[in-house]
Order: sequence, then structure tokens, then C-alpha cells
Amino acid sequence: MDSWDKNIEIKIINGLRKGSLSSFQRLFEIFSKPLFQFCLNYLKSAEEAEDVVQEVFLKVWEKRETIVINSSFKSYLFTIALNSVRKHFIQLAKENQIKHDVLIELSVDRKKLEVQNDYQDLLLLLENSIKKMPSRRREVFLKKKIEGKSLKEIAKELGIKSKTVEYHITEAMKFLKVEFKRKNISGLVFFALFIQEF
Amino acid sequence: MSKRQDNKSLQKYINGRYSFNDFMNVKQWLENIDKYEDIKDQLGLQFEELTNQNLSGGKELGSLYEKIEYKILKQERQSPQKLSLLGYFQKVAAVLIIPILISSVYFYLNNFETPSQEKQISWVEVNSPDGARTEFLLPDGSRGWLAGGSKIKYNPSFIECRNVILSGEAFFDVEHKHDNSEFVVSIPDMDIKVLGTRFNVSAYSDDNFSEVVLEEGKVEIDGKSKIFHQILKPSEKLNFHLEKETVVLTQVDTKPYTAWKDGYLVLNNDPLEQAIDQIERWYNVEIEIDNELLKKYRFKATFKNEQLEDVLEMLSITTPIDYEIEERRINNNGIYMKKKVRLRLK
Repeated sequence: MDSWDKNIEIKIINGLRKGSLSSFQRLFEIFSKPLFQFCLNYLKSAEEAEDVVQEVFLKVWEKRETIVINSSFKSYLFTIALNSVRKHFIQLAKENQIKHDVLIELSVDRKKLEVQNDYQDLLLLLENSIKKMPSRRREVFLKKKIEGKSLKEIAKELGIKSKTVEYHITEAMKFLKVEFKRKNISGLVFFALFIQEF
Repeated sequence: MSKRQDNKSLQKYINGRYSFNDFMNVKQWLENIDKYEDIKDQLGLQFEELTNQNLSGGKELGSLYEKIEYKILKQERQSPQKLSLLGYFQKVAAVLIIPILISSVYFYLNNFETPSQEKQISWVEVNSPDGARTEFLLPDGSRGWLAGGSKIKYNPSFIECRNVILSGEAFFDVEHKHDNSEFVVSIPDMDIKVLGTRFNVSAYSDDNFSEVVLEEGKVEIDGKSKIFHQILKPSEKLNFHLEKETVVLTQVDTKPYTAWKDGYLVLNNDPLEQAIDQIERWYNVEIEIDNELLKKYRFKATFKNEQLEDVLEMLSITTPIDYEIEERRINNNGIYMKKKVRLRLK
């Protein structure tokens, strides 16, 4: 952004107001990467970050005729971006909250779990471990733990016995316990947290 | 909680080494951002810092842009039509010139046979086939010439935003507007902004450079693949090399660069390998050179309304070249292929 100055910005914004796609593309080229990084910092997912970048730039285009720049285009972009990031973050946080319940279930010391600085690693480990489950087991597990459905509901939905649903969940938790144990040979403190029998 | 601790939580979260409690703090702030002005300011600063950093290594987002542009074009197509098709045709005048040229003005992203009142036409395209020169007139009164194998496109709101996308080569004679509104020619690597002027742009996709030559007036050029800003004065030529990403400014005699629009084929002391690109486009033929040394031979010549054979004859008299013109062949699909010419060192 060496040659970025106020005059160039005014010209590009004027072009945008009149509906010039090439001005729009120029703005994307200049701001998409920092915006993507900003979103990634808060959403921790490249897919989600890309979604936000898309949302934000579509909004910029949609509002092009009435765009009002108070201080700079940058701050205008930030206002739109912050809204979009918040919306996505709140949605993701809901999902993570439920995952947190699973992590608590897997741990012995809730207090420790909540202050250790490896929460992101734990979430990632949980997600990856869930992916490794056989497909039926994963389906049952997600319905129970992430969607919060009851054993009966799941049994009815999938046309299987409640006992079978229960069996899948027990096995899934056992599997997660082993996975968490295996991954923690690096000597992290929470190794100790998961050795308690389920 | 103290400000310092807040900052710590936020920083830890961003760096990816954070606890559940840090996460809950960040969640609390983002859910109620208006109550936490200082956190909002922090985020603003973070964004500001990121825009000042050089993130050239990061994720490639080019395909994301294409996705966005596609959505935009689709939306525009579905928005209410502002112009009637008839009124539209009156604004688009593509004049055909010698020899008989096929110039096509067509609308894509829209079905030409079934123009619907609800749909807005998205782009207008003017094509000049290989071997042809096409004069065009734009809705604002600006005019110009399209060289063989080139096309321009613009959208229907052209009057409000004068933006033309060019591939290939064109000479523009831009109408000056009293409100000083800009006229922008976009090519893949640059935007060329003008007020009212005459200039030539060459940006063929098979050449490894883009070139702008200014005859009259003033133009401003903004680089896109490489960021640069350059103002061109009359008789200046800007050459952008696509691979080396170099911008070279030189004083030139503009005639050899613009004479093509008046029907002159000008070989301006260029190496043969460059000159044959010109001859190929001019006569819609394919030329093969089977000698590396020959490719470096330079030629200076001007032809007006000359047949291909005459041009080749001329070259063979002044330089040690032999040429051979193959009969036009028909390919498997029953379509005539381009005439082929072979050049050899005598």
C-alpha cells in the first residue's frame, strides 16, 4: 500500500459510487487480506473468515451509491466488518459452548480446564476426534451432544433402539477419552485430567 | 476487571493461546460491543494495524473475488431494467469498415433471442475479429478503433460511469465532459484514467507486456497487479512488463503506434518474433519461424492496403528470408483453419 494516499482513495471511492467494478476490485485487492486476517483472528476458521469477507464486500457494493465516508474508507469498512464478525462469532460461540460441556465431561478438574491456555487446542482436538468416529456413531454423538436431542428423539429419527443410541454415545465418549490421552503425551498438564475412568 | 487484564485476554485470544475464561470474556465483549467502547477501539486499532502491514504472503483471495463479482453481476441482471432494448441499440453504434468485417455486438449473461423487459442487460461487447479493424462509437460520444483480435466491453450505466474493459489493442479518442468526469480504460494490470484525449492501449493476452502511448492530452495510469501511479504526457509511452513487473517510461514518436487505425501496418524496427505477432493479427494467419537467429532480425517498414503476399515478398527481398504459404486446410469439423506461413533463413 505504498502509494495509497487520500487522493487515490477519493478517486477510487468516486469510481465505486458510480458503479465501477474496477474500482471495487481495487478496493478488494487492497483490503481483502487485512480484513481476512482480522476475521480469522476472531473466528478461528478460514471458511468463516472468507464468508465474512464476502459479506462485507457485497455490502460495500450494495451501498455504493449512498456510501458516506466520514474519516476514511478504512474505518467505514471496519464498521461493516465488525458487525459481520460479531454475527458470525456469536453463532460460533453458541456451538463452542456446547463443545465446552463435552470437554468438561471429559475432564476431572473443571477449574483447571477453564484457566488453562490451551482451549483452542482442546476444541480442535475434539473436532478432529469427532471426525474420526465411524459415521453412524458420529451422527448419534452430534445429535446428542451438539444438537442436544434426547436418546428417544434420536432413536426415533434414525429408526434404531434407544439402547443402541446409548451404546453409541458410551463408545463415542470412550473413544474421545483415548484420543485425548494419546494426544497429550507432549506433557501438557491436562494429561492428568483425562485418566479418570468414564 | 482491569483494563490491563482485558487487553491480556484479548491478545491471548487473538494469538490462539487462550483459556476458556478468556474466550468467555471475548464473547461477553463482542455480544455487547456498545457497552465496551475501549474494546471496540482496540479492535479498530488492530484492523488499522493489519491494513498497514504487508500481508503479501497470506492466503490467495483471487477466487473469492471472482465469486463476489459473479454474485454482483447476477444480482444486477435481476434488478429492474432501466433501458428499453430499442433505445439501447440507438446508443450503441458499432461502425464497420473495410474490408467487410464481422463485428459482433452481443450481450452475454443474458439471452439475446428472448430479451425480457424485467432483465437488465449487463454488458455490451464490441468485438473485432483477427484481420479486421473496427471503428466504435460509445454512448458518450467518445470513439476509437479496435485492432484485430481485440474487444471492449462496458455496462449499460456507461453514461454515469465511463468505464471500458479492454482486451487487445485499441485507440481511443475520448470526448471531454464539462463536469470533468473521468473515462477509465481497464486492462488486467492497469487502469488508465483520462479526461479528454487521444491515446493507444495495447494489452493482448498473448503478449508479455501492456503498453499505453499518449498522442494528446493527459492520462493517469494506476497499476493493479503491481501498485504504481504514473501520469503520462503527450508523446510518452508507458510499458509494463507482465513477468518482470517493470514500468518503463520513454519518449516516442506516436505515429508508428497509432497508424494501424488508419490502415497502416507499421513494423517499427522490432525483432521479427514481435513483428510476426502484428502480421498474424493483421492478416489473420499463423506464422512459423523455424530459425532462432531469424527471430532476432529487425525490420522497419510501413505497408498500406498491401496483400499478405506483397508484404512477404518485400521482406524476402530486403532480408535473407524464404517464405512458403500453405493452402488453407479444413479441419475434422469441416471448418477452415487459418492460413499458415512458414519463414526460413535463405
